Amino acid sequence: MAEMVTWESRERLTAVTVRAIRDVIRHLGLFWLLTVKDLKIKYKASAIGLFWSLLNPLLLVIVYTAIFGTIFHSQKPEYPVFILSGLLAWNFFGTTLPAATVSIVSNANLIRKTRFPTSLLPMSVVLSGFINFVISLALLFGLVVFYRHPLGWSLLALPVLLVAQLAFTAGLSLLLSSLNVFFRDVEHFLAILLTVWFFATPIIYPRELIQGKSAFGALILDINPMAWLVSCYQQVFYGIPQSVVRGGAVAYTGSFQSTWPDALPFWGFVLLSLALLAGGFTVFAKLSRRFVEEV
Amino acid sequence: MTEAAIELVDVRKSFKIYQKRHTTLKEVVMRGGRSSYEVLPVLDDVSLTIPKGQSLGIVGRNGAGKSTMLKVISGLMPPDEGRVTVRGRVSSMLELGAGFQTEYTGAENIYLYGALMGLSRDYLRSRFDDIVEFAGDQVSRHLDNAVKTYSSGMYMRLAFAVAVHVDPEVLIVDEVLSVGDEAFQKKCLERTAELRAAGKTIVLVSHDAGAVKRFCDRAVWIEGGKVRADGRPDDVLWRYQSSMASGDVEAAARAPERRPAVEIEEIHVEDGNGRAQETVRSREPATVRFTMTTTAEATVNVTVGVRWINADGVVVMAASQHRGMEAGIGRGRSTWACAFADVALAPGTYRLEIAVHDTVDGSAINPPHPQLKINVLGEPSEGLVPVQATWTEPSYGVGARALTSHRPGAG
Repeated sequence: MAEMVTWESRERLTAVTVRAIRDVIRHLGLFWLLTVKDLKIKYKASAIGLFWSLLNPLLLVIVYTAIFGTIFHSQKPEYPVFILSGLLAWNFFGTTLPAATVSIVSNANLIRKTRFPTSLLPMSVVLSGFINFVISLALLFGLVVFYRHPLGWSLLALPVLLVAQLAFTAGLSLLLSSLNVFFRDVEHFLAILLTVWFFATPIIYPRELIQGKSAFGALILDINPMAWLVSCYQQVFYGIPQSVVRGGAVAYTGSFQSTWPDALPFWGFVLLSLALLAGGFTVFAKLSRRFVEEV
Repeated sequence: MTEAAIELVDVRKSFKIYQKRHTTLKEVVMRGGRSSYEVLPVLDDVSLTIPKGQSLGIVGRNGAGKSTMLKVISGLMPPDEGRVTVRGRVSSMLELGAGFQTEYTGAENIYLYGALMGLSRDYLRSRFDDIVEFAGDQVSRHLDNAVKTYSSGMYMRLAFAVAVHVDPEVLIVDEVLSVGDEAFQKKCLERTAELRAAGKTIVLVSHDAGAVKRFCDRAVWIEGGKVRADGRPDDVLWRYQSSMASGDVEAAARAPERRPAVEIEEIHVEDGNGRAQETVRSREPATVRFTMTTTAEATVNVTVGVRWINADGVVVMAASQHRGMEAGIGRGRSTWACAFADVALAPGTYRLEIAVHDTVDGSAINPPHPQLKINVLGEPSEGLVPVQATWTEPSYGVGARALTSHRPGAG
């Protein structure tokens, strides 16, 4: 019996979503090819492509360490390990999201002429960014070894964090890339938002610096899911050194090692990621029916 | 009654033409979600059933709704109202090479483009050589170069080669047959004809009236989003063309039928003794008999032929009316016979087709007729035709040594 497809004007949201999921599963081979394509384009253009992708965060770490260590006289020990454990995760999020958001609009010609699950376009951008992120973690492990920083069993939480961040980024990418087809402002708005978001996340400055000083700042850190995530990464790779606030400056005492992430931000982020992935995929499945005429 | 491959029921589709190209957030906020646009109906209550194995040509002016119809059938956009049902694997050729990555090599693009068309890596690997061969020498020499270095002709050939290897049950083609050089067009048309003969359903949009007449069993003329004429290609094309000349769509749509409608009512095959048979023996005589009805005046400008088509869709044996009698069909019901003195066919199953051609422009009239499958029995052979061949022992020259001297016990 030949396969049969029916296209109707109005379909229930669940039917649309189930079909979209089935369509993705049937095109896993294509999903992988598109992901590899993104990676190849990133690395093929230059002979030492992988080197470039590691050099960028390394330079940033040096710059930030210089600024915060020298100019602001931050006493935080092993500062590069602290920065990198948040920075790599942010880099994955902050570079992938804009690329995924425009992935539908920039492939307009392909979408108009070929029928395939369009959700693969943002998802393959996210997956290739994720693979790049996982490779770049080698830099962080290198730094940990260099400082002889003790890592513990809490490293077991890392895979969960990675997968949760993948789901979070994919969900948001699906949502924004489909909305961007209808409202092109999304991509411009996102560029500004990400700049603000970066500084609203305790990556280059320690959390303690805000919490002791500003109630508003502390509130931002509490409602920012990327702050939850980054804190988890920092705890897994870095830990919590004992700190005392003395006359507006933070001072650190004693030795420390990596710890298990706090339960609330950890589980909060995991649940939010799953919800965002499900929600983002559903919205995408619904909106993608009109891509061909709107893109 | 054959199963419908494609069914459109009361399909409506309209486009919103925005005053400005994109809605902006500002507009949404200021106007409370309503943006200014005009609604342009593109398909206006279209119902169409395309049976399995039929090849349908869609003709009409630019902007008449042809491409929208193909997109609705391909599942690229859902209809605003109504329902579209498609049975079987679809290969849409709306634009060749739309999924190519210019930085990728030809070989890499075969896999990526194939995957976009829904083919698995394993399948592509197994058909890789066929695809490359179909794409031609020039492409196969540059298979490891980026396609951005390809000429547009090579680009098209590679894309078409992948697209036709999707092995579709339903093939949707938009104008792509009119690109490329003449040799490439010929190859495309041949391949399309093969797919048609192999019983695939084909929907073709073309401005080339000749292609529609040669390749389609049926044509539909669309104007203003409505089906204005639906029927034999020659008649539909004539209406479309006369509407273009006169500008009067209604008159062209309502004009009486121009050509004799021919219908084949019955076909059967008799053996040498005049008995109706379901099988015939290879290398023995057989007679094909059929009855035909024409509903209009007699015409001399047609010729009738009988074709034996094998399982691969190849016309292996054909006899046209030219040979031995005057061309043309009289009015009303008539009985015809064509005697084959020697059924020179390799054993297998064959489909019998009664072909009617216009002798002036060479186009096919494609009368509807019942399907007749005939089994040919006989000695199995590898080729298309039965063989009677005898081998003689090879003779060897001076200094050569016959094979027998090496056989054990022969020395």
